[in-house]
Amino acid sequence: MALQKWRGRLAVGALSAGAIALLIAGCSSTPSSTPSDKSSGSTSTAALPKSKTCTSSDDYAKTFKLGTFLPLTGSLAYLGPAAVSGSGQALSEIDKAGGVNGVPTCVISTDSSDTDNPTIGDASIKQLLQAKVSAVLGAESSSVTKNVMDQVFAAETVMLSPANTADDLSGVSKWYFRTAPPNAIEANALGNLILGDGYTKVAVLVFNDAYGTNLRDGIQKVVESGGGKVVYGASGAGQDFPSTETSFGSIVSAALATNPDAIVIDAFDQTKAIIPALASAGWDMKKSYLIDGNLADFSKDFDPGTMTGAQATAQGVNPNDKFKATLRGWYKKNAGKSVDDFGYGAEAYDGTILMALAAQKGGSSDPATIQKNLAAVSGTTNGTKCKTYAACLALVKGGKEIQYTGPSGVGPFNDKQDPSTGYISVYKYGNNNNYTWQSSVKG
Amino acid sequence: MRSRRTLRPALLLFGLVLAGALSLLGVETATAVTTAGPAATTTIEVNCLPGPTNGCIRGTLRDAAGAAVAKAKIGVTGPDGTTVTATTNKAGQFGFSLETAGSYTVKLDTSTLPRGLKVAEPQFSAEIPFQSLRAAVFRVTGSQGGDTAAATSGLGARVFQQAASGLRLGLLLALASIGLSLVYGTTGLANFAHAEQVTLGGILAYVFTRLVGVPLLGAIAIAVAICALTGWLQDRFIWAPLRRKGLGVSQLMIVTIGLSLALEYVFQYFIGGGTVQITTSIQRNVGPLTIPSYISMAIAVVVLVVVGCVLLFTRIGKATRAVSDNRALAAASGIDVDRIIRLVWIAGTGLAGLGGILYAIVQNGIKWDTGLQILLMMFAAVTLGGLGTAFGALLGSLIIGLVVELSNLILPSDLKYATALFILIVILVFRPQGILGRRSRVG
Repeated sequence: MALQKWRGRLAVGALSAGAIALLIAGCSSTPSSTPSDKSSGSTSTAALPKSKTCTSSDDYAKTFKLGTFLPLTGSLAYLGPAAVSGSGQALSEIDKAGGVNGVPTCVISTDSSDTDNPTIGDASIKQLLQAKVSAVLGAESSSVTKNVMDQVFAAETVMLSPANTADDLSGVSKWYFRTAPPNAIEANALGNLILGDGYTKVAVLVFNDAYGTNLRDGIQKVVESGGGKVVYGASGAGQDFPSTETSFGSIVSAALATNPDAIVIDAFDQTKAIIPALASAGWDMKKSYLIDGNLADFSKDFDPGTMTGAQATAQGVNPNDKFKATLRGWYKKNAGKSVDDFGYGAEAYDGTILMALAAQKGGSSDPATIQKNLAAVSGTTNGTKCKTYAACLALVKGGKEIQYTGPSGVGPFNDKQDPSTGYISVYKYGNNNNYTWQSSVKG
Repeated sequence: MRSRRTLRPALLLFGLVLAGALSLLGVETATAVTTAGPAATTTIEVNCLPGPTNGCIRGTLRDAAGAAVAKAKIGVTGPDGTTVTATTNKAGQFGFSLETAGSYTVKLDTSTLPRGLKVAEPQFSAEIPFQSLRAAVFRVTGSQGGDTAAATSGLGARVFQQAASGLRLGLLLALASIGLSLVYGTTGLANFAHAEQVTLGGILAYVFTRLVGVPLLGAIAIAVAICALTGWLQDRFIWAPLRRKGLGVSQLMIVTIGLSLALEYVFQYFIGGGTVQITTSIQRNVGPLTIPSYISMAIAVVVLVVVGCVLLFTRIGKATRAVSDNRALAAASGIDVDRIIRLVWIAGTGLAGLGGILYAIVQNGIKWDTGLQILLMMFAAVTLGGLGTAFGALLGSLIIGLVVELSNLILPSDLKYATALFILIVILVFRPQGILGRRSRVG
């Protein structure tokens, strides 16, 4: 009886907590839905339905079973919607074109989370490997990939990352592929951009994650070879900040005390707290550079004019508005939410289509077949160029060699299974704190 | 009619292109001395951006003091042997668009440099493919005199700046952690979910200002009221019943850890993984900090002094201290212990909420896990000052805040939190009850 009463009271407590939660939900959902409503109105074609969720009866040799391993929670969760909608849209298009080897695809979506929550990613990978998926799409963070990759390679499953950029993942296993060019290519473009703007004393505000420090090392190499110097945040200087940092006052003071000409903000979401700290300290944002990891629309976060003139580089060509609208439409229909950030959406889309084409070419969607044929469909055999799954499918069925060229613009895989060419786009922030595409640099 | 309709956009386009080209050329770029044939393959373009049919060489000439060097001549010799010479503009900039891919030699005419400036290596060669951007950097020794860009921020200024940040962090920590200390004092419970009370305050303030549109002060009042209400609800429905059941302190602590994790993910579910801002406006620093920072610090001081005085001089305060000292004795002397504890919960959560709001404002944003990131600092602060004492929490917080923000003067940034916790251990070894804590009485 006592226990009964106790339970009842807990339930009331839970209910009241829920009521508060609902209150927050009611408020937060309103503004985020408005921009997407506007944009989805501009999509001409109706959004495609999601492909089905895999069941235990699906066999990976017959059905193309994609396991997505993408950040749905954690510090990279803001990048999740782009990759989820990118791969989802790809699967929907594949199904519409008749599936892989004539069978509709299926998907198991899991959460990779971030390096602060390694148990989530570990559980997700175990779930995917137990379900015997044809291939894993993920992770986004290079550090998360490193945490789980040994299990995936031991299970002889293909792992294709749409966003890993760490240089040391090049050629790590025959099962590992990626559709994002490694950091060195971006570092080269960014370093030259900074030097070309006439800045030689560069401060790097870098967080100590493999992604951040790896890119920093690359930038430092380019800046130093061009006669410049990294005055703050250099490799080995011990000025990297922890990825969980919330207080940037002293970090900004220390960086500005070195009198830099330019500052590179080499971080993820921490950027939202770094920019105001820099602006408060009187830093001229025109001399600031962002990277692919924090290239985002800040129009809702800061007053107009805060970021005017800041520049950024990011992997990939500028996803065009039509592709963005397609992803928005797909996500709105299938997840009911809006996509605000498009980072790595095109790479996830291309990765999914490449793997499906490899399975189609080999006649089976088991991991070994996909692994064997991925390079060929990406264009290493100098095949006929084709842009969509449907078009490529027709060529493959006709026994032709193909080269799939998708919206991300990555070239054929090289012998380390990295994209052999990649594009780095240069963006500039305007008065509205949103970025516009300037040009693409080939790496 | 028809032809005019087609002509007008064409004219407009032409005008735009012309205007764009003119603005790209820049006014200060002087004459191009070219000996090329009919199709000049290299053009002067200060803000050259690479494209599919051109590569770029860009640079900005600065003297050793960082001042732009104008009117210096820089020549680029292409693969066909022709040379194009540009003159640096007022900002020291120069740039070339190269419409032939190949090897180029860039040479600075040192005789055109202002007197006193020298360049050791005025010439270099580089391979410039299409779609690439190459920075041209010349290391200039000597300065043009006049205004040598004075190093404004010396070490003293930096120490002052960071000490101010440390004081600010300390006061906010004190405000956020006083509830933690009081709850511990009255109930003996180390409440891990206190961190989420801090986050809740910031998030609610974000919801009411940004999403509902309540003015800042009103939003703060509402958020603090809701936070205080959650304190009441928690004690009414969770802690009081559990106390009555006679659960041990360690079991209760596990409950708080569970509650902490649950709340964190509830926050993430509703506001996502990114940082949210309460205010979009960014204030420039006045002295070492921004005006909102000073106001927040003043609020923290006033609230802390009021809480301290209430504890010292009012009947409720005395009752609280009595409960804190000896619960059984307090109960025996006619104090309603449960009522006091409930009051402590309400005040503690309300203050934590206020602390979270101010933290989010001065540290430029709040995230679903911000509370968790500062929880260790809060525990360190209250333990250092003496668990269960209000002024101890203040003193401990100030020490922790200063250590965290000043440590990067001599230690790597990575170690800033480690330093604070190391000091905690050292002090506890010599003074286990904390700086202001009293030795527990026996009997």
